[in-house]
Amino acid sequence: MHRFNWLLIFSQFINGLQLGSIYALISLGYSMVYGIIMLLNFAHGDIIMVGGYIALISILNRFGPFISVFFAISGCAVISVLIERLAYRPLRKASKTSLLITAIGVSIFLQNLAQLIFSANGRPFPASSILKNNKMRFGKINVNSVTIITILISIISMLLLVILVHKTKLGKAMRAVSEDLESGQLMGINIDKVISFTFILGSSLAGIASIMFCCQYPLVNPTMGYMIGMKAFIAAVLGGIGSIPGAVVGGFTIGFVEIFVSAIGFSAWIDVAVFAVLIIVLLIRPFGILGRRLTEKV
Amino acid sequence: MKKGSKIFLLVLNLTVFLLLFFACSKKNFKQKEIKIGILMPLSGKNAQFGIAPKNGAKLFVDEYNKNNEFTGIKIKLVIYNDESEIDKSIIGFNSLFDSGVCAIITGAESVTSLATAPVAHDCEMPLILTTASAEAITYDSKSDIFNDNVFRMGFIDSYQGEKMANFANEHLNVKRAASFYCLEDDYSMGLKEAFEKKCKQLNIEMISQDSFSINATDFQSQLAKILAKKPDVLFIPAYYDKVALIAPQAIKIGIDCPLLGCDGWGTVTKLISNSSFLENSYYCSAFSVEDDEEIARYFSESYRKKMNEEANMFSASGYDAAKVLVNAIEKSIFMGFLPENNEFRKVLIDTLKKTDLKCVTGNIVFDEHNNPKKEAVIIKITGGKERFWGRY
Repeated sequence: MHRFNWLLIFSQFINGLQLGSIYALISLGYSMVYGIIMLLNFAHGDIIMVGGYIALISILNRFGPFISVFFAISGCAVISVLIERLAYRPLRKASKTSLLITAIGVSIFLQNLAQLIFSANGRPFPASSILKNNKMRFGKINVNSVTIITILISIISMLLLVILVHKTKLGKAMRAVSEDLESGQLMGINIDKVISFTFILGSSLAGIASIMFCCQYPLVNPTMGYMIGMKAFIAAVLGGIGSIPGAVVGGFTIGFVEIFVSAIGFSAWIDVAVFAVLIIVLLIRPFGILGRRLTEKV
Repeated sequence: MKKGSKIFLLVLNLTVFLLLFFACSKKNFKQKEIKIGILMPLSGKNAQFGIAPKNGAKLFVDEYNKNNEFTGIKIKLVIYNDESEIDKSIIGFNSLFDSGVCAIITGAESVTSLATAPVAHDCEMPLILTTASAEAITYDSKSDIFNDNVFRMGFIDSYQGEKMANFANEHLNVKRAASFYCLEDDYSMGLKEAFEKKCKQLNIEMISQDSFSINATDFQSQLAKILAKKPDVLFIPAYYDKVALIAPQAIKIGIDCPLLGCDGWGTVTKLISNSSFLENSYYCSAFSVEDDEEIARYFSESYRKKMNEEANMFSASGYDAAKVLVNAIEKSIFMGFLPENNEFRKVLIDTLKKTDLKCVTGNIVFDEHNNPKKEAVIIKITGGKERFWGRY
């Protein structure tokens, strides 16, 4: 029998929080876009990769950490607005399937574009020039500053998002559009503006997540967004796609499941466990943990 | 001009004259292009294992064609990108076969080579593997299947695993070892099993065996478990892109013992965000640019000049593969066999078997299972650089 190691369990808990908060940030983008235009935006994962490369290039050109982070986040926002304008808007009246396939196409396009520009080889990410990693000690417990900052920034961004959606006029418009797009339009809401705003919000969160991700796992490559995007998508579906608290709950659930499964020694089974959790939850609650057919969807 | 290159030129001249002599003595032999296939991943996640040996082979072939105008032998490379995919490597093999190559340089990775080797065996196509290290590609002891057409330039998995266990025992004085490997990768599994077996023999206690998934980027959970066991050394049989992610997380979590690796680690310091994370780690390799052997030095210099980058283990094994192959092609032709004939490939396999050639990565002689008998190079990472520690 193993001795119960509380220190180990605590550090695994922190690891789960950190991984989960990154998933949560990304799955928010999936969830919001789905809430507004019922689109599974598969290019969202690749926005992470775009953010990573923008941050990398900015740092290599000596722009300093703050400006680099700003560039990365705004770059993600600009690119996703462009994607929406060029790829999704012309298809807004088309069937949902066409839109979904377009999203997959955009994802493949972004990956290959990055391979063309930056080559297929990965590039090291100079994590220490954005976040210096300091070891912090609380009694017997070793915690890394990067981990703590990741968790804190994620939680702050999520709180800001909730305030934005519930307290501002644009947020109100978003909620209205997600409730019923046509009625919202009749009430005088500028749909294009709201949709662009949703994309900006979602991809800015993805930009933040991308910086966090690259600081934790300092390697940027053209296909890095695929798997993490997939996991975040699962998180969004698990939590109830279209629901903001659902995306957060889903993200943390996936993070904890992954850490738990590898902590008990089944690391090769991580993906199996994640999908198994998804299947079980969807069998019991087809709309996800917090998703309801008629609740607010933003 | 250095003394070394003078000797080399002399040797080259001698070969040229000999070839000339033989070429003249054979009346029916016209100048003919001989095609060699290259089947490597040139893009995708493991492109580095394919591009470098392709360049190495190209360097040798260019040199050979330039210095070899009179013999009538002209080598042409036919290159196919398998993108690290098993299906694409089979398609590539078929398309190279159809284009009339007499042998294929391949084997950047075990996964794809395990698929192509039996296919090549059926049509008696000689394969020269650069770095693929799974034992079963040449000889599978479980099923007793021997692909006698496949020759290897690099080490087999078990050889590397044993080497690192011996090294840990002899030079690092290790009593408690841990391993961290990828369950879905034959290469990683093969090394880990050999390492553990050897450790058992050497009375090194294996205190922890953890694995990771092939798509994983987060390893903290497993590393935290390893840290709790306090090993003297952590063996990570993995490719460089995984090591570039594992090492920073290991340091972050607090693992400060030396890390041990394998030839998949080559050029890891280029990919890691801060190479001090790997300080005092060791891995075994087939080649180092700092190796002071004459032939290795010559290769490093000309590679740097032609390709504008540092040579590495992969380019060296590509160069050696081309050298061994061209040497065997030459011999077979001089024995009177024509490359147009179908039996030529069979003759080539027999000639390859008798190879005894001084190459960049050591003296290449094949054992009964077509694996090379040669020493490994141990690389130590100090001061953020991959330094030549010695032959071991």
